[in-house]
Amino acid sequence: MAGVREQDQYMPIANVIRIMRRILPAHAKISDDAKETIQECVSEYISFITAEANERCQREQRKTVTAEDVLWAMEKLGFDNYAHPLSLYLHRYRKTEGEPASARRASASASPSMQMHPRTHPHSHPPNYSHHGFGMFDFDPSSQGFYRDDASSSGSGGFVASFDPYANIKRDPL
Amino acid sequence: MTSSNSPKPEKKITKNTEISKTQKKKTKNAETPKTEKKKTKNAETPKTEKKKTKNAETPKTEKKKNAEIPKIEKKKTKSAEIPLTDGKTKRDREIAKEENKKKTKKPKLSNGTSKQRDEGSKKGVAEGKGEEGKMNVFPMNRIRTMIKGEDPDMRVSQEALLAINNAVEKFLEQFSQEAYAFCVRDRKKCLSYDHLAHVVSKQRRYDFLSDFVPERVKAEDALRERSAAGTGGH
Repeated sequence: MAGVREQDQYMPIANVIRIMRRILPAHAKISDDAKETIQECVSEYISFITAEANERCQREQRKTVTAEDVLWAMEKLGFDNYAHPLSLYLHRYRKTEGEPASARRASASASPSMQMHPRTHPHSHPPNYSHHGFGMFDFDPSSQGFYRDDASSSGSGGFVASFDPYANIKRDPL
Repeated sequence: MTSSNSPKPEKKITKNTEISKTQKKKTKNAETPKTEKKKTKNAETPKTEKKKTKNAETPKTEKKKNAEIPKIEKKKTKSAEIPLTDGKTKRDREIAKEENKKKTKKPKLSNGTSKQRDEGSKKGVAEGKGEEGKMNVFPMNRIRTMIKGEDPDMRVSQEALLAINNAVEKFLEQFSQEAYAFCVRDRKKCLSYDHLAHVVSKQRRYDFLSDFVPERVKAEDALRERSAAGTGGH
Protein backbone atom coordinates (compact mmCIF):
# COMPACT_ATOMS: atom_id res chain seq x y z
CA MET A 1 0.00 0.00 0.00
CA ALA A 2 2.67 2.48 1.07
CA GLY A 3 4.82 1.51 -1.89
CA VAL A 4 1.99 2.15 -4.29
CA ARG A 5 1.35 5.60 -2.88
CA GLU A 6 5.03 6.47 -2.88
CA GLN A 7 5.38 5.55 -6.52
CA ASP A 8 2.33 7.63 -7.26
CA GLN A 9 4.28 10.69 -6.14
CA TYR A 10 6.56 10.59 -9.15
CA MET A 11 6.38 10.24 -12.89
CA PRO A 12 7.08 6.69 -14.06
CA ILE A 13 10.84 6.32 -14.24
CA ALA A 14 10.62 4.46 -17.56
CA ASN A 15 9.02 7.48 -19.21
CA VAL A 16 11.58 9.81 -17.68
CA ILE A 17 14.49 7.71 -18.92
CA ARG A 18 12.96 7.39 -22.37
CA ILE A 19 12.84 11.16 -22.84
CA MET A 20 16.35 11.56 -21.48
CA ARG A 21 17.66 8.97 -23.93
CA ARG A 22 15.90 10.75 -26.76
CA ILE A 23 18.04 13.81 -26.07
CA LEU A 24 21.31 12.25 -24.95
CA PRO A 25 23.74 10.44 -27.28
CA ALA A 26 23.40 6.70 -27.63
CA HIS A 27 26.59 5.99 -25.73
CA ALA A 28 25.63 8.15 -22.75
CA LYS A 29 25.09 6.38 -19.46
CA ILE A 30 22.87 7.60 -16.63
CA SER A 31 23.66 6.68 -13.04
CA ASP A 32 20.92 5.39 -10.78
CA ASP A 33 21.15 8.35 -8.43
CA ALA A 34 20.78 10.71 -11.40
CA LYS A 35 17.63 8.87 -12.48
CA GLU A 36 16.08 9.15 -9.03
CA THR A 37 17.10 12.79 -8.73
CA ILE A 38 15.56 13.66 -12.10
CA GLN A 39 12.37 11.89 -11.08
CA GLU A 40 12.13 14.16 -8.06
CA CYS A 41 12.94 17.22 -10.17
CA VAL A 42 10.12 16.43 -12.57
CA SER A 43 7.62 16.05 -9.75
CA GLU A 44 8.79 19.29 -8.17
CA TYR A 45 8.50 21.05 -11.52
CA ILE A 46 4.87 19.98 -11.84
CA SER A 47 4.10 21.22 -8.34
CA PHE A 48 5.97 24.46 -9.01
CA ILE A 49 4.14 25.30 -12.25
CA THR A 50 0.77 24.15 -10.93
CA ALA A 51 1.02 26.19 -7.75
CA GLU A 52 1.86 29.32 -9.72
CA ALA A 53 -0.98 28.71 -12.19
CA ASN A 54 -3.40 28.07 -9.36
CA GLU A 55 -2.36 31.26 -7.61
CA ARG A 56 -3.26 33.31 -10.66
CA CYS A 57 -6.49 31.38 -11.05
CA GLN A 58 -7.55 32.15 -7.49
CA ARG A 59 -6.53 35.79 -7.81
CA GLU A 60 -9.02 36.13 -10.64
CA GLN A 61 -11.60 34.19 -8.59
CA ARG A 62 -11.86 31.28 -10.99
CA LYS A 63 -12.17 27.68 -9.86
CA THR A 64 -10.65 25.76 -12.76
CA VAL A 65 -7.01 26.06 -13.81
CA THR A 66 -6.76 26.43 -17.59
CA ALA A 67 -3.98 26.02 -20.11
CA GLU A 68 -3.57 29.80 -20.24
CA ASP A 69 -2.79 29.81 -16.53
CA VAL A 70 -0.13 27.16 -17.08
CA LEU A 71 1.45 29.10 -19.94
CA TRP A 72 1.40 32.29 -17.91
CA ALA A 73 3.07 30.52 -14.99
CA MET A 74 5.80 29.15 -17.25
CA GLU A 75 6.61 32.58 -18.62
CA LYS A 76 6.69 34.12 -15.17
CA LEU A 77 8.96 31.42 -13.77
CA GLY A 78 11.61 31.66 -16.44
CA PHE A 79 10.55 28.89 -18.80
CA ASP A 80 9.33 31.26 -21.50
CA ASN A 81 11.20 29.36 -24.19
CA TYR A 82 8.69 26.55 -23.65
CA ALA A 83 5.60 28.75 -23.50
CA HIS A 84 5.66 29.92 -27.11
CA PRO A 85 5.83 26.52 -28.87
CA LEU A 86 3.38 25.19 -26.33
CA SER A 87 0.85 27.91 -27.11
CA LEU A 88 1.14 27.08 -30.82
CA TYR A 89 0.59 23.44 -29.97
CA LEU A 90 -2.54 24.19 -27.94
CA HIS A 91 -3.88 26.40 -30.71
CA ARG A 92 -3.51 23.60 -33.23
CA TYR A 93 -4.93 21.12 -30.75
CA ARG A 94 -8.10 23.16 -30.37
CA LYS A 95 -8.52 23.47 -34.12
CA THR A 96 -8.22 19.75 -34.72
CA GLU A 97 -10.45 18.82 -31.82
CA GLY A 98 -13.34 21.19 -32.42
CA GLU A 99 -16.62 19.71 -31.23
CA PRO A 100 -15.29 16.26 -30.28
CA ALA A 101 -13.14 17.99 -27.66
CA SER A 102 -16.15 19.16 -25.67
CA ALA A 103 -17.77 15.74 -25.95
CA ARG A 104 -14.53 14.11 -24.93
CA ARG A 105 -14.26 16.30 -21.85
CA ALA A 106 -17.77 15.38 -20.78
CA SER A 107 -17.07 11.69 -21.25
CA ALA A 108 -13.69 11.99 -19.56
CA SER A 109 -15.28 13.37 -16.42
CA ALA A 110 -18.11 10.84 -16.53
CA SER A 111 -16.00 7.77 -17.18
CA PRO A 112 -12.25 8.16 -16.61
CA SER A 113 -11.77 4.54 -17.64
CA MET A 114 -12.35 5.61 -21.23
CA GLN A 115 -8.97 7.29 -21.22
CA MET A 116 -7.38 3.96 -20.49
CA HIS A 117 -8.92 2.16 -23.46
CA PRO A 118 -6.62 3.44 -26.23
CA ARG A 119 -3.55 2.69 -24.17
CA THR A 120 -4.32 -1.01 -24.19
CA HIS A 121 -4.17 -1.26 -27.96
CA PRO A 122 -0.41 -0.77 -28.41
CA HIS A 123 0.15 -3.58 -25.95
CA SER A 124 -1.36 -6.07 -28.37
CA HIS A 125 1.57 -5.62 -30.75
CA PRO A 126 4.50 -6.56 -28.48
CA PRO A 127 3.24 -10.18 -28.22
CA ASN A 128 4.52 -10.69 -31.75
CA TYR A 129 7.96 -11.44 -30.30
CA SER A 130 8.47 -14.07 -27.64
CA HIS A 131 11.37 -12.23 -26.02
CA HIS A 132 9.22 -9.13 -25.81
CA GLY A 133 6.45 -11.11 -24.18
CA PHE A 134 8.82 -12.45 -21.59
CA GLY A 135 10.02 -8.95 -20.83
CA MET A 136 6.49 -7.72 -20.32
CA PHE A 137 5.96 -9.83 -17.24
CA ASP A 138 9.40 -9.43 -15.69
CA PHE A 139 9.91 -5.84 -16.78
CA ASP A 140 12.07 -3.84 -14.39
CA PRO A 141 12.56 -0.19 -15.47
CA SER A 142 15.48 0.28 -13.12
CA SER A 143 17.40 -2.50 -14.87
CA GLN A 144 19.35 -0.59 -17.48
CA GLY A 145 20.68 -3.60 -19.40
CA PHE A 146 17.28 -5.21 -19.70
CA TYR A 147 15.83 -1.98 -20.97
CA ARG A 148 18.41 -1.87 -23.74
CA ASP A 149 17.67 -5.44 -24.79
CA ASP A 150 14.03 -4.55 -25.21
CA ALA A 151 15.02 -1.50 -27.21
CA SER A 152 17.06 -3.48 -29.72
CA SER A 153 14.54 -6.26 -30.28
CA SER A 154 11.43 -4.13 -30.46
CA GLY A 155 13.27 -1.52 -32.50
CA SER A 156 13.82 -3.96 -35.34
CA GLY A 157 10.28 -5.26 -35.05
CA GLY A 158 8.86 -1.78 -35.07
CA PHE A 159 10.81 -0.93 -38.18
CA VAL A 160 9.40 -3.91 -40.08
CA ALA A 161 5.87 -3.26 -38.89
CA SER A 162 5.96 0.43 -39.65
CA PHE A 163 7.69 0.09 -43.00
CA ASP A 164 5.43 -2.54 -44.55
CA PRO A 165 1.94 -3.00 -43.08
CA TYR A 166 1.37 -6.01 -45.35
CA ALA A 167 4.25 -7.94 -43.79
CA ASN A 168 1.83 -9.36 -41.25
CA ILE A 169 -0.25 -10.89 -44.02
CA LYS A 170 2.76 -12.39 -45.75
CA ARG A 171 3.85 -14.12 -42.57
CA ASP A 172 0.76 -16.31 -42.41
CA PRO A 173 1.60 -18.65 -45.34
CA LEU A 174 5.19 -19.13 -44.13
CA MET B 1 33.35 15.08 6.44
CA THR B 2 30.57 17.37 7.62
CA SER B 3 29.87 18.62 4.10
CA SER B 4 29.44 15.10 2.78
CA ASN B 5 26.74 14.46 5.36
CA SER B 6 24.79 17.60 4.54
CA PRO B 7 22.82 16.30 1.50
CA LYS B 8 21.52 13.28 3.40
CA PRO B 9 19.38 15.09 6.00
CA GLU B 10 17.89 17.26 3.29
CA LYS B 11 16.86 14.18 1.37
CA LYS B 12 15.26 12.89 4.53
CA ILE B 13 13.33 16.12 4.77
CA THR B 14 11.92 15.48 1.31
CA LYS B 15 10.92 12.01 2.42
CA ASN B 16 9.07 13.50 5.38
CA THR B 17 7.11 15.71 3.01
CA GLU B 18 6.30 12.64 0.99
CA ILE B 19 5.03 10.89 4.10
CA SER B 20 2.67 13.78 4.74
CA LYS B 21 1.41 13.42 1.19
CA THR B 22 0.76 9.73 1.67
CA GLN B 23 -1.19 10.52 4.82
CA LYS B 24 -3.37 12.90 2.87
CA LYS B 25 -4.05 10.19 0.34
CA LYS B 26 -5.41 7.76 2.92
CA THR B 27 -8.85 9.07 2.07
CA LYS B 28 -8.33 7.96 -1.53
CA ASN B 29 -8.02 4.25 -0.84
CA ALA B 30 -10.28 3.50 -3.79
CA GLU B 31 -7.62 4.76 -6.16
CA THR B 32 -4.96 2.24 -5.15
CA PRO B 33 -6.15 -0.64 -7.38
CA LYS B 34 -6.21 1.71 -10.36
CA THR B 35 -2.62 2.70 -9.79
CA GLU B 36 -1.64 -0.94 -9.76
CA LYS B 37 -3.23 -1.40 -13.16
CA LYS B 38 -1.52 1.70 -14.42
CA LYS B 39 1.85 0.37 -13.37
CA THR B 40 1.66 -2.58 -15.73
CA LYS B 41 0.77 -0.25 -18.56
CA ASN B 42 3.53 2.16 -17.63
CA ALA B 43 6.00 -0.69 -17.79
CA GLU B 44 4.84 -1.46 -21.30
CA THR B 45 4.96 2.08 -22.67
CA PRO B 46 8.71 2.21 -23.49
CA LYS B 47 8.26 -0.71 -25.86
CA THR B 48 5.31 0.82 -27.66
CA GLU B 49 7.30 3.98 -28.19
CA LYS B 50 9.83 2.09 -30.28
CA LYS B 51 7.13 1.49 -32.86
CA LYS B 52 6.51 5.10 -33.75
CA THR B 53 3.62 4.57 -36.13
CA LYS B 54 1.72 2.64 -33.50
CA ASN B 55 2.29 5.31 -30.89
CA ALA B 56 0.74 7.82 -33.23
CA GLU B 57 -2.49 5.86 -33.23
CA THR B 58 -3.22 5.93 -29.51
CA PRO B 59 -3.83 9.69 -29.11
CA LYS B 60 -6.19 9.62 -32.07
CA THR B 61 -8.45 7.13 -30.36
CA GLU B 62 -8.35 9.24 -27.24
CA LYS B 63 -9.40 12.33 -29.12
CA LYS B 64 -12.12 11.12 -31.43
CA LYS B 65 -14.61 8.59 -30.21
CA ASN B 66 -16.08 8.03 -33.66
CA ALA B 67 -12.72 6.85 -34.93
CA GLU B 68 -12.18 4.42 -32.08
CA ILE B 69 -14.15 1.61 -33.71
CA PRO B 70 -12.20 1.28 -36.98
CA LYS B 71 -8.86 1.64 -35.21
CA ILE B 72 -9.72 -1.10 -32.76
CA GLU B 73 -10.61 -3.35 -35.68
CA LYS B 74 -7.30 -2.61 -37.37
CA LYS B 75 -5.29 -3.61 -34.36
CA LYS B 76 -7.30 -6.76 -33.91
CA THR B 77 -6.71 -7.77 -37.51
CA LYS B 78 -2.98 -7.48 -36.98
CA SER B 79 -3.08 -9.69 -33.93
CA ALA B 80 -5.29 -12.23 -35.71
CA GLU B 81 -2.99 -12.52 -38.70
CA ILE B 82 0.12 -13.27 -36.68
CA PRO B 83 0.46 -16.76 -35.15
CA LEU B 84 -0.62 -16.66 -31.52
CA THR B 85 1.72 -17.25 -28.59
CA ASP B 86 1.05 -17.74 -24.92
CA GLY B 87 1.66 -14.07 -24.22
CA LYS B 88 -0.84 -13.02 -26.83
CA THR B 89 -3.62 -15.24 -25.55
CA LYS B 90 -3.13 -13.95 -22.03
CA ARG B 91 -3.28 -10.36 -23.19
CA ASP B 92 -6.30 -11.02 -25.34
CA ARG B 93 -8.05 -12.32 -22.25
CA GLU B 94 -7.04 -9.28 -20.26
CA ILE B 95 -8.28 -6.99 -22.98
CA ALA B 96 -11.55 -8.91 -23.16
CA LYS B 97 -12.03 -8.55 -19.42
CA GLU B 98 -11.31 -4.84 -19.48
CA GLU B 99 -13.49 -4.07 -22.45
CA ASN B 100 -16.62 -6.15 -22.99
CA LYS B 101 -17.57 -3.91 -25.87
CA LYS B 102 -14.85 -5.40 -28.02
CA LYS B 103 -16.61 -8.75 -28.02
CA THR B 104 -19.37 -7.29 -30.14
CA LYS B 105 -16.77 -6.05 -32.61
CA LYS B 106 -14.92 -9.33 -33.00
CA PRO B 107 -17.23 -10.79 -35.70
CA LYS B 108 -16.38 -7.83 -37.91
CA LEU B 109 -12.80 -9.04 -38.16
CA SER B 110 -13.90 -11.94 -40.34
CA ASN B 111 -14.99 -9.58 -43.13
CA GLY B 112 -12.27 -9.18 -45.74
CA THR B 113 -13.72 -5.96 -47.09
CA SER B 114 -13.59 -4.31 -43.69
CA LYS B 115 -9.88 -5.09 -43.43
CA GLN B 116 -9.09 -3.40 -46.71
CA ARG B 117 -11.07 -0.32 -45.77
CA ASP B 118 -9.39 -0.16 -42.40
CA GLU B 119 -5.95 -0.33 -43.94
CA GLY B 120 -6.77 2.55 -46.27
CA SER B 121 -8.07 4.72 -43.49
CA LYS B 122 -5.02 3.91 -41.38
CA LYS B 123 -2.59 5.47 -43.81
CA GLY B 124 -4.63 8.62 -44.24
CA VAL B 125 -5.11 9.22 -40.56
CA ALA B 126 -1.55 8.34 -39.63
CA GLU B 127 -0.03 10.81 -42.05
CA GLY B 128 -2.30 13.63 -40.98
CA LYS B 129 -1.55 13.46 -37.29
CA GLY B 130 1.96 12.11 -37.07
CA GLU B 131 3.07 15.03 -34.95
CA GLU B 132 0.50 14.28 -32.30
CA GLY B 133 2.11 10.93 -31.66
CA LYS B 134 4.39 12.73 -29.25
CA MET B 135 1.47 13.70 -27.06
CA ASN B 136 0.83 12.26 -23.64
CA VAL B 137 4.31 11.01 -22.94
CA PHE B 138 3.38 10.81 -19.27
CA PRO B 139 0.15 9.26 -18.00
CA MET B 140 -2.41 12.01 -17.58
CA ASN B 141 -3.99 10.43 -14.53
CA ARG B 142 -0.64 10.44 -12.78
CA ILE B 143 -0.27 14.17 -13.31
CA ARG B 144 -3.81 14.72 -12.11
CA THR B 145 -3.15 12.60 -9.02
CA MET B 146 0.02 14.53 -8.21
CA ILE B 147 -1.83 17.84 -8.53
CA LYS B 148 -4.67 16.57 -6.35
CA GLY B 149 -2.07 15.59 -3.78
CA GLU B 150 -0.93 19.18 -3.61
CA ASP B 151 -4.36 20.78 -3.28
CA PRO B 152 -7.45 18.53 -3.34
CA ASP B 153 -9.72 21.50 -4.06
CA MET B 154 -7.84 22.50 -7.20
CA ARG B 155 -9.64 21.93 -10.47
CA VAL B 156 -7.56 21.54 -13.59
CA SER B 157 -8.95 21.46 -17.12
CA GLN B 158 -7.99 18.78 -19.61
CA GLU B 159 -6.09 21.31 -21.70
CA ALA B 160 -4.13 22.42 -18.65
CA LEU B 161 -3.10 18.82 -18.05
CA LEU B 162 -1.97 18.61 -21.66
CA ALA B 163 -0.01 21.83 -21.25
CA ILE B 164 1.66 20.52 -18.09
CA ASN B 165 2.43 17.20 -19.77
CA ASN B 166 4.20 18.96 -22.63
CA ALA B 167 5.90 21.42 -20.30
CA VAL B 168 7.35 18.56 -18.27
CA GLU B 169 8.61 16.88 -21.42
CA LYS B 170 10.40 20.03 -22.58
CA PHE B 171 11.76 20.66 -19.10
CA LEU B 172 13.16 17.15 -18.97
CA GLU B 173 14.72 17.44 -22.42
CA GLN B 174 16.45 20.71 -21.67
CA PHE B 175 17.54 19.68 -18.18
CA SER B 176 19.06 16.45 -19.50
CA GLN B 177 20.80 18.28 -22.31
CA GLU B 178 22.39 20.84 -20.01
CA ALA B 179 23.42 18.19 -17.49
CA TYR B 180 25.04 16.16 -20.24
CA ALA B 181 27.00 19.22 -21.36
CA PHE B 182 28.67 19.27 -17.95
CA CYS B 183 29.15 15.52 -18.19
CA VAL B 184 31.08 15.99 -21.44
CA ARG B 185 33.11 18.81 -19.94
CA ASP B 186 34.23 16.47 -17.17
CA ARG B 187 35.06 13.89 -19.87
CA LYS B 188 32.91 11.23 -18.27
CA LYS B 189 30.51 8.79 -19.91
CA CYS B 190 28.10 8.42 -17.02
CA LEU B 191 25.67 11.23 -16.21
CA SER B 192 25.63 11.52 -12.44
CA TYR B 193 24.15 13.53 -9.60
CA ASP B 194 26.95 16.10 -9.59
CA HIS B 195 26.15 17.13 -13.15
CA LEU B 196 22.50 17.66 -12.28
CA ALA B 197 23.43 19.63 -9.19
CA HIS B 198 25.77 21.77 -11.25
CA VAL B 199 23.00 22.69 -13.69
CA VAL B 200 20.72 23.66 -10.81
CA SER B 201 23.36 25.85 -9.21
CA LYS B 202 24.37 27.57 -12.45
CA GLN B 203 20.98 28.62 -13.82
CA ARG B 204 18.51 30.83 -12.06
CA ARG B 205 15.45 29.21 -13.60
CA TYR B 206 16.22 26.03 -11.69
CA ASP B 207 16.34 27.73 -8.29
CA PHE B 208 13.18 25.90 -7.26
CA LEU B 209 15.21 22.68 -7.38
CA SER B 210 18.07 23.98 -5.25
CA ASP B 211 16.58 22.48 -2.09
CA PHE B 212 16.17 19.10 -3.76
CA VAL B 213 19.46 18.96 -5.65
CA PRO B 214 22.09 20.80 -3.63
CA GLU B 215 25.57 20.79 -5.06
CA ARG B 216 28.10 18.93 -2.96
CA VAL B 217 30.84 21.37 -1.92
CA LYS B 218 33.49 21.56 0.74
CA ALA B 219 32.68 23.54 3.85
CA GLU B 220 35.36 26.13 3.09
CA ASP B 221 33.96 26.83 -0.39
CA ALA B 222 30.44 27.04 0.99
CA LEU B 223 31.48 29.64 3.54
CA ARG B 224 33.20 31.69 0.85
CA GLU B 225 30.13 31.62 -1.37
CA ARG B 226 27.94 32.75 1.50
CA SER B 227 30.15 35.68 2.33
CA ALA B 228 30.34 36.70 -1.34
CA ALA B 229 26.67 36.27 -2.29
CA GLY B 230 25.21 37.21 1.05
CA THR B 231 22.93 34.19 1.13
CA GLY B 232 23.42 33.66 4.84
CA GLY B 233 19.84 34.73 5.49
CA HIS B 234 18.43 31.70 3.69
